[in-house]
Amino acid sequence: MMKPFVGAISAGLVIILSLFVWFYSRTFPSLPDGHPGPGLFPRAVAAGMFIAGCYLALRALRGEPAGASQELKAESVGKGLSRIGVVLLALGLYPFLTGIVGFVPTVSGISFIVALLLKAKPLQSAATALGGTLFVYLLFTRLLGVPL
Amino acid sequence: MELLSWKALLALLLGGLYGSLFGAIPGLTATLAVALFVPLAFFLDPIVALPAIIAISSLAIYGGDVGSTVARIPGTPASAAYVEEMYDVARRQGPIYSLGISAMGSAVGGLIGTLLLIVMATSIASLAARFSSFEYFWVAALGLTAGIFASGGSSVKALVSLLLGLLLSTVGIDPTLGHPRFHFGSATLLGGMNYVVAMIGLFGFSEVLAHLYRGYAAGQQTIAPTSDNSIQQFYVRPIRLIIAKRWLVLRSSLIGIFVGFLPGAGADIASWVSTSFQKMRKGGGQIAEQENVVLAGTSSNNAAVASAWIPALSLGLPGDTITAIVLSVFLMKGITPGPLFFANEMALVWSLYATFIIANVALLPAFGYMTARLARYVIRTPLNLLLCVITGLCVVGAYSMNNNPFDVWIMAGMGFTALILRLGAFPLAQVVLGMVLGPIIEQNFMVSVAIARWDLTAFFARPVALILMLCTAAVIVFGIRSRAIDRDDRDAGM
Repeated sequence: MMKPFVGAISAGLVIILSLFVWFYSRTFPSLPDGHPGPGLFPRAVAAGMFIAGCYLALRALRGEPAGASQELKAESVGKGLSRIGVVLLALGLYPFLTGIVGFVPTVSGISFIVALLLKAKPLQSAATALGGTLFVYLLFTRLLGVPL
Repeated sequence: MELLSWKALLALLLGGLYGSLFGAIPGLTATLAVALFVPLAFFLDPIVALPAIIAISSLAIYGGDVGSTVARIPGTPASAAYVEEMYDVARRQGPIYSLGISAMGSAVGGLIGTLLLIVMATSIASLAARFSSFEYFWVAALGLTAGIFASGGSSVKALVSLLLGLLLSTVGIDPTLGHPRFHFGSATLLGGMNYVVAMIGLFGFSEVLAHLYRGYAAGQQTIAPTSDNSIQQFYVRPIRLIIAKRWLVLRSSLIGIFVGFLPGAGADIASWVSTSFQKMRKGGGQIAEQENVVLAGTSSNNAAVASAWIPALSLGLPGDTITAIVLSVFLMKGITPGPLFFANEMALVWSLYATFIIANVALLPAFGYMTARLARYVIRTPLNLLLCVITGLCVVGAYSMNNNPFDVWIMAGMGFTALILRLGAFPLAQVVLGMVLGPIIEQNFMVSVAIARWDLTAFFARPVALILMLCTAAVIVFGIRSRAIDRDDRDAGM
C-alpha cells in the first residue's frame, strides 16, 4: 500500500540531518591560505543530502509511493517499538550493570530479554542466553586471548 | 604455503560449515554470517581469518537455497530470485536433486569467477601502481557513483545511504589539518567510527531489532519428501545438466562476474539480473526451464562472490557488502588493498586465491551434500533462540574491540539507524561503501588540490584521470537513463 507519510518522514529526517551537518561544519577552521579545510567534505555531503531530501519530500507531497519496506511490516507498530525500546534501554544500562553484577550475567540478561520478547519459552530462553553467552565469552577469553 | 597450516585449514573447514548451516536458516543472511564473524576475525591472523571469511560467504550463499528447497523460504536475498523454480524442482524431482543443481552450479560459477579474479586483479593492480592521487580520487568517485545505480531500488535513496556512509567516515580527525570532527566531546569518537563496531550494528544487531519490530512468528513447517540414490541425485545428474547447459552456465557466470565487480552490487543483484535474463529467454519445457533458471541464479551468485574481490584487492574498492566489511577489518589492521597489497602481502593474495578454489572444488560439494541431507532439521532451528545468541555475540563483539562500553552504545545506535533505514527502504550496502570510500576520496581530493594549488582543471589533465572521469560521467548518464526507462515501463504497465 502506498505510504507517502513514510516518505515525508524519511525526507524530513534527511533534510534535518543535512542542515545540522551544514551549520555544525561552520565551526571547522579553514586552511591557512583561506581555502576550505576540514569543513569542505562534510558540507559537500550535507548539500547532497539536502537536495536528495528535498527530492524525496517533493515525491511525498505528490503522493507518490515511498517504496517503504514490505519485509518490515509489524503486527503492531507500537508494540514493535516498545520491544525495541526495552532492548535499547537494557543496552543503555550495560556499562552500569557490568560494574555491579559482572560481564556474563549482564550479557546473559540482555540476551534473555531478547529471547522472551521474541516469544521463546522462559526456560529455553534462560538456557540459551546463559549457554550462548558462556560460549562466546570462553571463545574470546580462552581461544582468542581477548580480555573482557 | 601458509594456507596449508593446520590453523588456516581448520578455519577454512569451520568457516565453510558455519556458512552453509547459517545461510540455510531462513532469516539469516551471508552478510550477517560474516558480520558476526568479524569480531573474531579481527583478533586472528589475516592468513587464518581470510580463508574463513571466504569459505563463509561462498557456502552461505549456497546455504540460502536450502530454505527455498524444503519450505519455499529463501535463506538469502540471492536465493529469493529463483525460490519458486527451486521449490518446484524439489517438489517434482526431489530436494536432493534441486540442491545438487544449486551446489554444482555454484561451484562452477565460483570457479569461473575465481579464474577471472586471479587474472584481472593482478593486471589492474599493476596498472594502479602508476596511479597518483588524481586517479585514485576518480577511482573512488567511480566506485561511489556505480554504487548509487547498482542498487535494485531507488537511486536517490541509495545516494542518501551513500552520503550517510560518507558522513560517518568524517567522524574523528580530519586528514588535512588534524582537526576533530563530530566527536561531540567523546574520546572514543575522536578516534573515528570503529568500522567493526559499526558493521556489527548495521548488519548484526539491526537484524535482531528487525525481528523485534516485526514480532516473531514461527516458520513454515512444509517439508518436501526426500529421495533415494542421493549421491546420483546430488552429483551425477546436476553435473550432466551443467555439461548439457554449459553455455547457459558460462553466460550466467559472466553476468555474475560483471555485476559482482560493480561496487555495492554483489551476489544478490547478480542473481536477480541473471535469472531475469534467463526468464526472458524461451526454450525447453516447463520443468527444463525451471532447472535453467535455478542454474542461472546459482552460477551467477557465486561468480559474483569471487569477482567482488577484483576491485577490492586491486583498487581498495569493495565490490559488495562482504568485501566492504573485510576491507574495513584490513584497514584497521594496517593492511591497505591496492598495488602495495600485491607487493607486500603476496602470501595473503595467494591464500585468498587458493581458498576460493578449495571452497568451490571441495567445500561446496562436500558441505553442500551434508547440508542437503540435514535440510529438514536445519530449517527447524528456532530463530528466536538464535537471535538471542546473536544479541550476545553482537554485544561481546562490540565490547571486545577496545574494552570500551561506549562501543556497545555505538553498536546499538548503528543497529537502530539501520532499522530506520530499512523501514524507509534505504539500502544498507551503500552506507558501508560510503564509510570505506569516504577517507579515500577525501584524502586524495585534498592531496590533489594541494598539489594543483586549487587549480581544479588538474583533475582532468592526466589521461587516465580523464578516462576515469568520463567513465564516472557515463555511469551517471546511463544510470539515470536506465532508471527513466524503468519508470516509463512501470507507468505504461499500470
